[in-house]
Amino acid sequence: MMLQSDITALWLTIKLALITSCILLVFCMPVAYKLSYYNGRFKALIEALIAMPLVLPPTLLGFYLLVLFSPDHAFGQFWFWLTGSPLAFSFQGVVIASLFYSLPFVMQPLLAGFKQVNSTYNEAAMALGLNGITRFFYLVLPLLKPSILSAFALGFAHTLGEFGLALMIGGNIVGETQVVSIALYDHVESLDYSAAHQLSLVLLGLSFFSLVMLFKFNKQAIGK
Amino acid sequence: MILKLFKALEQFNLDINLDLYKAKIIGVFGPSGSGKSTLLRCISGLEKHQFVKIDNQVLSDVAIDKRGIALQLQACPLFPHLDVAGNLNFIFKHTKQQNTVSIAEVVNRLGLHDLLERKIDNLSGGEKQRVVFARTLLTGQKTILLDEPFSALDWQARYQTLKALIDFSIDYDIRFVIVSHSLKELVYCCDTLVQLQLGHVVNAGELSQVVKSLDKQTYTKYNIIHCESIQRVEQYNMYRMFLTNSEQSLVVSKATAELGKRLVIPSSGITIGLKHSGIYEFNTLVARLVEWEIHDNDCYLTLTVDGQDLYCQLPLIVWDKTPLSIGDDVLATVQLES
Repeated sequence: MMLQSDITALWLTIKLALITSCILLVFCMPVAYKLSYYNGRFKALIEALIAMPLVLPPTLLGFYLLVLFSPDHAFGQFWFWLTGSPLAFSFQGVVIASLFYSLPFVMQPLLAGFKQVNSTYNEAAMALGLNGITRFFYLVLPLLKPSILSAFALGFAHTLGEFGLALMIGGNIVGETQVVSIALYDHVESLDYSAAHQLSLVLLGLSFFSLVMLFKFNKQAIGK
Repeated sequence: MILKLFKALEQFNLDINLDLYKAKIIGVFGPSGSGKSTLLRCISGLEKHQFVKIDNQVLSDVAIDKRGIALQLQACPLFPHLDVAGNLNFIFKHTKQQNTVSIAEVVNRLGLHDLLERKIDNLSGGEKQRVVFARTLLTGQKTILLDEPFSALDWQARYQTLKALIDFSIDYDIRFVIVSHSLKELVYCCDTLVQLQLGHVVNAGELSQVVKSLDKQTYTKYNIIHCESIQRVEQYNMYRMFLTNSEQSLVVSKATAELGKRLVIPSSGITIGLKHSGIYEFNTLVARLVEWEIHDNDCYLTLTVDGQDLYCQLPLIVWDKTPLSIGDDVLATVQLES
């Protein structure tokens, strides 16, 4: 049987991954749509900024987010004024950190999908005289479905494996910020290999399932 | 249709000033990179800030979806999440104009019945082009621009599709502007031709006028032979077309006959003989030699068949072995379908 704390960590991780992926989808859809059309001189700069979390160590991201969340910083003060609780070492803080951490994984499939759909199908429909609203809702969105599902699966899978950033921002509070990867780390530290195996197996299964879904959606994406 | 376009391109400026009042089917041709596709994009509004006036309405500042123009882009894709019927329904349903052309009519005339349930991935290149053309017709627009629309069709299918295009133009009062590399295709269906070179109009006007003035070394010269009646040759399922003001005739396939009383014959598809061999000679006309001139390794002859000009291009080696002089009667054997 799995430990109660592990079940709590597992549920917290799934909740974190779901919330992160959903928020990122809502944020990335319009941005990717605009970016797919944008060819200005800041294009490389914007794309580099979005891709930064891919190359940065999570600890670096964690460090600056901790600074941002601290009561000495305007953003930290604003959040405290708004909610009455600090962001650091809270679930909300981990969610915000995850948003930064998984941003490129959700943005990239959407951007690639929009570019493909816009340059071929959307332009063809525009040339035939269809208006923008019809094109977006009846053509672009249905064609983009595999890319949206890919983006969701990738964002979900990537957030599942989050460790360094979650530890720095959230610490290790059971039921609040302890995600599966941190709970696993705890078991290994305390030489409880049996619990570590159980948790690893669940995490492996969950990650594998997410990736199978990802490749399934990828295969359905246009032109693949 | 009045067009005043000026678009700065990388290698040249597209500078076009055209006035084509009565034209119904306009063919645009010219070498690659001469600005043909850009011309269509400018008319449709995909390229902004160009002066376009159609039927006394200035369209320069009118949004693309309100211009009353449909542009079928080169290699225009079908929507991959829908089947053939879905693609046709999608456009029919979402075009705001009063659609006078029904899906059944388009499917019927283009012979698409067997394709309706098929998935897009299972269509051949030619089948895709026919469905794309059907989808364009269903926009219900009165001005339709087509960029290389039939390049993947074999000639038999192309004749049928061109015939449908001509019929739609007449029956539904649709104006077509067609860009094509195939001058032969344009000569078959257009009433007006526009020749482009490096973004400029070098030749424009009524079909036979433009064809006549084409540089024969660059373009195969096409003969446009007018006929006044067509008779079915029951036994062979073919059609005999009698030339205007003449007793002479040519026998053609059903697809060619259906294109109307106009035969298009490439000058390179005519061979010359001196006298009857005594056996039946298929599609041979008695003509008179009017003029000849030599360019490089070819001889270009102008013949006349009962009042109609017939241009013929012969390899020089053949011409040198043919003892002919101006005013002689010759037998011109015509190769119609190739």
